[in-house]
Amino acid sequence: MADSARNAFDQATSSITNLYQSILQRSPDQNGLQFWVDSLSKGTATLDDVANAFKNSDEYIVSALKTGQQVTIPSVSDFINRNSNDPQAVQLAAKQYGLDLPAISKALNLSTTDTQNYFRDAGVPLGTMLTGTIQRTFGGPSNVRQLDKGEDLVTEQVIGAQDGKLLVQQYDAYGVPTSTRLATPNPSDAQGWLQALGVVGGAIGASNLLGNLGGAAAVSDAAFIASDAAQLAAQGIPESQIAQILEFSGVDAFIAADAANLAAQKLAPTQIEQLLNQSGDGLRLFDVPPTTPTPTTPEPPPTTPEPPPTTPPEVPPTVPPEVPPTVPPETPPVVPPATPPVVPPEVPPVVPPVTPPVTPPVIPGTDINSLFGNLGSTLLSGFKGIAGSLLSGLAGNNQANTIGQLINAGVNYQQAKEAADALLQQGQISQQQYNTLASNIQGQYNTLATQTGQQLGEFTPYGITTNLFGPSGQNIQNAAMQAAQQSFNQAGMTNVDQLSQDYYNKLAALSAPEQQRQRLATEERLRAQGRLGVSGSAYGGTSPELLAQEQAIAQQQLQRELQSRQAALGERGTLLSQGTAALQPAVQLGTTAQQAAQQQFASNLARQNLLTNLQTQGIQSAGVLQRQGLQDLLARQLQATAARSGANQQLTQGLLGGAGGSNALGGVVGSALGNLFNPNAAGNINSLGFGTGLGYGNQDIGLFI
Amino acid sequence: MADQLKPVTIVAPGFFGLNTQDSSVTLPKEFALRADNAVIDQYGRIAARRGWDNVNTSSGFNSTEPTVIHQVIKENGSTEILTIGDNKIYSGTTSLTLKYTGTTWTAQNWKVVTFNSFTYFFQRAHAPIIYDHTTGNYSLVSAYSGYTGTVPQGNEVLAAYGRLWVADTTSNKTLVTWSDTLIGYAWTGGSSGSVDIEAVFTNGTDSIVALAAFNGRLIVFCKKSIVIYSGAASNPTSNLVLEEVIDGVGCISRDSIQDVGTDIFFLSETGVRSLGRVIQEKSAPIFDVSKNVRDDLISDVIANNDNENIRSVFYEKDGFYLLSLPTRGVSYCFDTKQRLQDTSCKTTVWTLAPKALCSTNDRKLYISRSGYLAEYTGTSDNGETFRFAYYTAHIDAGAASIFKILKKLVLLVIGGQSTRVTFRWGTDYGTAYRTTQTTLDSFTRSEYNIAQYNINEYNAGLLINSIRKPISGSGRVFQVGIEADIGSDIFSIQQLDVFVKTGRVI
Repeated sequence: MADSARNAFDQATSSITNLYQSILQRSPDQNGLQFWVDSLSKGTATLDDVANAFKNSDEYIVSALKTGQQVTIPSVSDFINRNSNDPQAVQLAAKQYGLDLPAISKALNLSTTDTQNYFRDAGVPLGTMLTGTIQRTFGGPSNVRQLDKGEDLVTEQVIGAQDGKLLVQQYDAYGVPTSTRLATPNPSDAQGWLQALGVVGGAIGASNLLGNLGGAAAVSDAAFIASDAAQLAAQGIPESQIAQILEFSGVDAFIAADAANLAAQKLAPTQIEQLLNQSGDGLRLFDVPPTTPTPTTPEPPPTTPEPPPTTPPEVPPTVPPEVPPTVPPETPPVVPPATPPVVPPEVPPVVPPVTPPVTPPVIPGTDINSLFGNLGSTLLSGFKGIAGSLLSGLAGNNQANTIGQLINAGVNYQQAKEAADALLQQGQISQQQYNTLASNIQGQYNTLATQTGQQLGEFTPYGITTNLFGPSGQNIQNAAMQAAQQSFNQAGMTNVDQLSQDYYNKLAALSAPEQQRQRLATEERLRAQGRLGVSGSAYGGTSPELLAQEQAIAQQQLQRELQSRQAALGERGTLLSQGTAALQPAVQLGTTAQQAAQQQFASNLARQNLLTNLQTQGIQSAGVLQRQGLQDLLARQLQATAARSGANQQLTQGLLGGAGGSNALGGVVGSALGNLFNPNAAGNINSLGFGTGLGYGNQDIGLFI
Repeated sequence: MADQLKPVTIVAPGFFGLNTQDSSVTLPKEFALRADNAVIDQYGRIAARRGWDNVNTSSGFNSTEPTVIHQVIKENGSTEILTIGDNKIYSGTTSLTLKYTGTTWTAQNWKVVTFNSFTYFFQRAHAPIIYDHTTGNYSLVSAYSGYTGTVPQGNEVLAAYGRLWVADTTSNKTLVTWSDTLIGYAWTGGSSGSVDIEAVFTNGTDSIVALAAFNGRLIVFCKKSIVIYSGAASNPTSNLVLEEVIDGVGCISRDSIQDVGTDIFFLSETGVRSLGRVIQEKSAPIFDVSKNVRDDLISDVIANNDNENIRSVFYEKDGFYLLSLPTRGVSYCFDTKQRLQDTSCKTTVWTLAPKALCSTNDRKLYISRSGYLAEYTGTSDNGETFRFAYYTAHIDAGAASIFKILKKLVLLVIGGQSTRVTFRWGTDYGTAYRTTQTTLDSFTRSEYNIAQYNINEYNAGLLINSIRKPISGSGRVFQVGIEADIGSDIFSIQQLDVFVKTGRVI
């Protein structure tokens, strides 16, 4: 192997080993290392490809997931399918991407029951994964409740019973226990239990609303869905909107579509329920399809409730926004012979498409307007107004735009993503919106990273050649590195022993004639003296003259050896010095680039600090607005109380008047208003979300907007 | 009227010793053409050598002739004669005491040195032996307590400058190894060391034959060259310095080397030479000691056919250097008392050729005989006569072209009581000598009736015999020979007169 090839091989080996250590936190396995070195040497992959492959590898993703990092998984379903033997990884991936039970089941090619058993057998909690779903079980100490309480996600856990009440432990958003409280359960009804807890009014408001609308509590999921669908259909709501409403409330898209279709056929709720059960959809009633669009953007709350329209407004077709594919199609990875854990893809690594600065998707708020408008002008106007007011009070704009602005302002990805996660968990945005938002965030950051990379040079922590210095600087650096490498190589190839021997031979050859002359002279002198053959024990078996001469020669040889050694070391030192000197331009360039990078970093840091300040100011402003919103809310509550009083009076008058007093719609509206303006319910409307949930018996389907 | 007899007088005949190298015609009358069993006595006369007597009372050495005689001079001044024969080491003179038996010896060409309370025995390819004077024990050096290193099994050992020097091993002929200072059995550590002289030879390679300490130098005798080192006296490892390499002259026999006081005599391929000591010049000139008998000597050395058994001794009392060629059965005696003008030594030849010689510090000369340790003394060879012979050079009486008619010979002899003397003469270089014999009278003689130096030599008064013998024959040159069977008295020729009558011119 030539020296240059050997050096390249060593360098590639070193670089890939570094990648293994830095990304995968382990030493390379032999087959994997060999595969990547071969790929590098053949030019079929670059170090960037290797790094990307490592970052996209299941090994890295699983490790990142388990350490709480946010990672981008090219294909979550495929990832889950490939890692089905690691329930914890599946759980973490699903949790990060907000997958629900059906999606996980689909990815695992299992039924939901088997999926539940899969997690149960593995000891992995499943409840917290079901985004958008409130799972609860009465009486159990380990049941978890996740509730939307403003900006923070507060978790409560029933940890026991005390004085005939439930002892509830409250946790903050970080899982730190904060306080406990006693809650009075309503064992006959989930709603009552929740109300007893005093924290779920918002969450069950819609359910109560719909339950009241249905006049009776459903006994099963299918029954509730069928009942709601039938009621909506009875209200003249088109099939698509019924399906949208159901889906929006957490019903599986297929089930919602089926139920809406059945309802649109004017089937009785029982028939719809029966058909749903026959179709087996009952198992997926509460699934939230990840692709379901949630085009809802709350409008600013009106100062006064808008009267319900007499005719349902036209609902624009809900077209899911085009989401650029963030994950290129995966192809079977090229597996090294001994199946190294890190499987290099043959396709280019996952690089999100360069997108312009994220423009937060505009979530249309007309959906809810039209939706609730269809429910009744009074109801919808109040509903919409309250929600819009809250959203407006929260951010003054829609959250996506807020995130986009943050991103544009330089908020890092994690912060943006956490914000999006918060929005998702708070129900401010749907899963689809979340995905779109995440994609946009990622795209924006990719664009930002690309731009930054172009400005700062491609920097990798593995010593990859960068263009921090620009083309000319890079050329200078390359030339300097090459010259230095040559010098170092020569120095490395300098065999000091051999070189010393060469020097010694030369010196010996130079001095050999003189030495020979001296020897001959001594010999001649000894011969003339007849002492040539003299030898004595006292002189090492030779004559004193020869002994002295040989000692002198030996001393001279030792001096030559020393000189040769010094010369050889000096030559190697010269080569090293030359290499070091040749490196100086590169080092200077690197220093300059580093300084530039530091300056850039400092600039970015300043920007980020600025943004952080702005964010803080925004949060503070949001708090101010929140307080204002609460004040407005109180004002509106007062107004609603007054309006309710007026409505009661009108209803009383109507009932007393006997004209239309038994009107069903009027009863419904009255009941709804009664709930809507229930002081308790209003009091539990927090600053972030006004619960508009659709409750279905024991299973709550939370709808948070 | 006939001419008067013309005397040709040779005073101190043979005073110059043998000269077989020069032309007889021009040879001075003082040279002899034959001088068997002769020496140059203290008066410069040619005389018969002394005889020898067995020292040990009974035959030893299993009736073989010892090869080594060594005098051990101990620290207390006492001496001990060690004799090696029959693969054993004996101690004593009149009675031999077996000290060590070499069960594995394959030769007895030991070189023995005494050094610092020990006597060491070295021979090529044999484990060196140590004799501890204190304990009286003999053992292998390698088995001696305190032995260190590896003692070389050299054929040559030299005790000089405070250490032992060893060379000429089986495997290395150019390495000189020295022991630690004063410790002849320590061959590593300390100041022990070695020098390989392979690189110093100037004409090819060579082999070390012997070592000698001389004039503060270490002399390394090789077969064809001589390497002289200085600085051997103190820490040779540091100070040993080559001083001179004498090429073309070497030593062919280890035991031919003798320090004669001012020179070192050694046998080279070209005869006996000396390494002169010239202190002032710091040089070591070479002298040809055997110049006048060179060819005969070389011939005899070659005929001896074994340079290992050649022995020599410097007998300072009589001042001669004796080189024995045992196999050849002849010894060359070089008189060192007064050299000839050409620095050569007066040379005589002995028919006595011991395998071992030893001059002791009490002025005795021990020689080896079969089964015995003998002493060079007396006038007979252990009771047996030996033939003394002296032949003059060819004499022309100053007129080589005039015919001479030999008429009378008058010989003046010192000693020779009861000695049968044979006169021989010949003319014109012929070997057909005419002969006449006479036996000298036996009577008591006394020189003032006082024994000289109270020793039995010459203690009697000198007997001067004047012998007249008519001779005959004629020729241009003539030669006279005197042979005497020495067994009862000294025999020294004082003067020789030959009366001739000159004749016609040739």
